[in-house]
Amino acid sequence: MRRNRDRSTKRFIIFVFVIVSISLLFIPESITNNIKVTVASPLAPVQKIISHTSNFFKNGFKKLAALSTAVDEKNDLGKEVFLLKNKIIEQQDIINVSKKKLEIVSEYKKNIDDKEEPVVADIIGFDVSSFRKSIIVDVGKKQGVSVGDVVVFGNALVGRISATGNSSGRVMLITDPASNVPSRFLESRTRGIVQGTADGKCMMKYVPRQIKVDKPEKIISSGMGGVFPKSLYIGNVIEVKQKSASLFKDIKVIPRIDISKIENVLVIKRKKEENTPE
Amino acid sequence: MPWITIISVTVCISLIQTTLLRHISFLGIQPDLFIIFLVFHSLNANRERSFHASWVVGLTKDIFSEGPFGLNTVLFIIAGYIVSIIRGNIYGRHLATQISVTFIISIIYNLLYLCLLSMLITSAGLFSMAWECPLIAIYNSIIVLPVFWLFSRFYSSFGFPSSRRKF
Repeated sequence: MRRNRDRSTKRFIIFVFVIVSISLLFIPESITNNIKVTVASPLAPVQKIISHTSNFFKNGFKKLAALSTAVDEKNDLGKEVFLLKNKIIEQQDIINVSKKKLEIVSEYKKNIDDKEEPVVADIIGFDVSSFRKSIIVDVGKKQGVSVGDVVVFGNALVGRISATGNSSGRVMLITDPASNVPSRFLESRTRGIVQGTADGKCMMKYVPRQIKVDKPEKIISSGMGGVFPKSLYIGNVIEVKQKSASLFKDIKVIPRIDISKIENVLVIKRKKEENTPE
Repeated sequence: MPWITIISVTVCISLIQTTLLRHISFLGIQPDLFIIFLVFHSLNANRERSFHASWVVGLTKDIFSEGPFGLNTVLFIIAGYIVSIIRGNIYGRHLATQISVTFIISIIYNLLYLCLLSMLITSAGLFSMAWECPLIAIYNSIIVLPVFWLFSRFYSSFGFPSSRRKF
């Protein structure tokens, strides 16, 4: 009897719980929200502590995990360093070019005539024709360069200014077929004319057949005619031919300066002579 | 005493569920410790205590979740009742039983909840999220063994009735 009563009581309690639970669904949301907040609020500080702690550890783990991703980042940074190193090389190259320019000027200034003033010019273009040899430099009238000015590189003859623009000039190279440079052998002092050919080399003409020429004889400018200064290195003899009926030898010369390997030249401006009263 | 046990564990679960479990969410899905506790309690306690636990856990879930108040309570009572019905025909201490019951109850609970919620909020198209139900069930099943072990330890450490015998 008592057992049955207990069972009935339990069933009644369960029934009440179920009814209460279902009736909860019909309570207005504003009230239920208040209930939720009120009941949950005592746990808020604990939640805050747990959240902060878990976030702290999560960040710690993230940092640990970041170690593995650091490998990828290292690779990326490696690439960046690689690019920056290239940039440094580029800057170094600019410094080297400037140094070279300075050296060229300094070297030339040792032997310079008071009437001459060197200007460093960058090569900015080459001749488009296969049969002409000229270059375009970044100096022109603005820099005081005029037609006929001699162009050298490290005391070796490159050519002369054939045309000038406002800020650029064309240099006829000694290898151009139209170029004729009065010259002489360094040792024998025999004179001749170095004329350009279309193949990037030169021919020394008008060297008498009886003159003995040894390879590799050095050829310098003779200064005759007043266009080119004397004693500028032109090139070396690489081949000597003697035609039986000819009065002169055919001497092939390789220019001292390989224009394809240089980036700048020195233009020797001639100062205008001042008429000083006596 | 059983009430204190249930409430203590439920509070702990609430704290863990609201703070820590988001860190182990997968595809935005996190395990449901409330369901696992419900299954644990329903498998180990008698029907009356299982009912109490279901009610408390459901109510707690309602408190810490958005939505209609009482919905989880009702569903948890239903879920607890289902477990207590089938408990007589299964061996609840076997790992496979615990895993499979958790999986089934998770699916039933989540589908019912989704159905009811879809009826309450018709415009949301919530039923399209049904694909998440098996995923949640799988996630719950995966972690059921360590969680069951922790619950057992908790019960025995604090002098609460051991899970090794029916309480």
